[in-house]
Amino acid sequence: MWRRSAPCDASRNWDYGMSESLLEVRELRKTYVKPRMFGTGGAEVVALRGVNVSIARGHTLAVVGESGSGKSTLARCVVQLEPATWGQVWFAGVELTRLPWRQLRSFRSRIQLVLQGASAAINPAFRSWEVVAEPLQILKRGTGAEQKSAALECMRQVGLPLDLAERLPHQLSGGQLQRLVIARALVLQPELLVLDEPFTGLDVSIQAQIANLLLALQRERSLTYLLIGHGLPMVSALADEIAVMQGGRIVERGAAGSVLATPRQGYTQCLVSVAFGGAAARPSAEGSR
Amino acid sequence: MRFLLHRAAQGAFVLIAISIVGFLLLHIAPGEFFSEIRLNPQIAPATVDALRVQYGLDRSLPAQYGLWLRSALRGDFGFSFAYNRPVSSLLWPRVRNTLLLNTVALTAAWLFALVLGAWAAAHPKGWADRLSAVLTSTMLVVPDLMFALALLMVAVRTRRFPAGGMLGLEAAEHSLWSQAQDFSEHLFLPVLTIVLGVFPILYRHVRSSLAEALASPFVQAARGYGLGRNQILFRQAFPAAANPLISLFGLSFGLLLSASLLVEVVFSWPGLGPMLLESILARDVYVIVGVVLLSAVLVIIGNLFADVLLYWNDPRIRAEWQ
Repeated sequence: MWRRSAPCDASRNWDYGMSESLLEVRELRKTYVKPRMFGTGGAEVVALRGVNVSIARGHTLAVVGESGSGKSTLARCVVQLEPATWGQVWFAGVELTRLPWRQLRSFRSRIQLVLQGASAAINPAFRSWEVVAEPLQILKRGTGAEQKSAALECMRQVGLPLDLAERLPHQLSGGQLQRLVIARALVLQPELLVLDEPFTGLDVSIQAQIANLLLALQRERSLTYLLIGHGLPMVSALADEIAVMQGGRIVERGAAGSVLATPRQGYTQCLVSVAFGGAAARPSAEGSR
Repeated sequence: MRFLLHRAAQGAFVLIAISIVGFLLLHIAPGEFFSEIRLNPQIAPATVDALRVQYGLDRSLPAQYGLWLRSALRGDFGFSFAYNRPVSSLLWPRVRNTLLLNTVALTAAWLFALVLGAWAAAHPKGWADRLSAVLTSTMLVVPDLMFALALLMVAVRTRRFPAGGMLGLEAAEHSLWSQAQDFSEHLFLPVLTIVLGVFPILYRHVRSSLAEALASPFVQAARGYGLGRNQILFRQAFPAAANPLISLFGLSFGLLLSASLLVEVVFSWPGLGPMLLESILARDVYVIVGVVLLSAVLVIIGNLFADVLLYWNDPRIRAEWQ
């Protein structure tokens, strides 16, 4: 269905060197401080406890784990929506965590975040094409006509009929909204897409369509994906590599096939067992993608 | 246009309903203007009966409503028993004074609420935000009357501000500038009292609506494209937070006649407040119905205005009506 036509080689070397990695996250820590009513300081909530991940250009790293494990925080720190408490985020050889705001702005178009919950991620007052053109307007790229034309082209690429261009978000279905947020992320022609639970709230057939769309776009545009997700079956269809998160740490990481076929950690075994209904139903290392 | 006509028709219906309900309730309430006169041994019962006939109080309730409606359509809004004059001639000068007071007060309250609420929403959980939360909570639980009495005491003790009225006794003899200064000084304390009462409600709504909008994922997405803090606030958060604030603005427009009634009594402001109180005590029914109806008209106009603003601001509402 949405599986890639050519299965990946499980024995592939997943330990990319610095030169091959488009994104590298080193020892990333994030602590939230819950402020007291009066006075300074407050209770600390540790969301990330030294996360290390890297993704090679054109590949997909899926980060899976239960709610509250720190997946979305990792995504937000990677796109610099949240400042990390400690650690580094390197993108295309540049350390983003050290860049001043103005210089960071030029990198933002190269990394795009697709937020979870498409309906909430879209301004309800914008028409469909305006949603897609919004990043171009914010970054002042092109004239109004050029922005609209680029937005319509992106809508076409994600399979949205152009007669939806003038519709408001509440007049679109869940699948159409998800395509719209993907189109919005693509309009700046990014190199890295951070997909935060892109299948949440969609029925299985729409999930499959979105997964197919993401695979097609990756092929056409050589996109790199950092995919955050709950559901292992859908994630395994897209991922080259899987990192399992628990309590703000990566507890297991490896090629998608080997993580799914022979999970080493008890937590990963539990996730795989729940997702695929026991060892017998697990996909083989060769057939996972 | 269809949207506007629909809303205007709804408003007219509400106005008629309020006039009927108000009229009914006042007649169901025990006692009437002539009850007290009956207790006076110097006035013969026949005289009182003749007065009741003269004012149409001997007729059935629907007939009385019909008479009042005819008078309202002529612009008189009935006849005051106490002042022996058409209600409209009593109301208009006082309505003008009340509108003046409340317009200044509500404009000031909205300006403070918008500026401070936006600032607090943009700096959530800071010391200023927490301090303002405590202060506004405290202000919410203090009745307006307490503010009025406290400020009146300040005026009397310090003699810096006049303690009542709208103009000084000798104001007419002074220049226009001195009159304006005198008027501003008289206006200050009643306005401050109303602002202290209304501001916490408006501030809390502005703060929470904007904070919610700023935390919404689509604003986060805009932040991810590198949009600056001010642009996020004005281009993204304010339009997104506008709908509940527009509705609140419509409601506060309805307060233009009623927000200051007690304050006017305390500060002897020659507005509707003192006259309404006297009319209620004297059971001067048509004056009360007149004030209630005028307040209802302002509420309806406020809501109509809010609906038009919502229609203009929110394309979802426009799409619904197109």
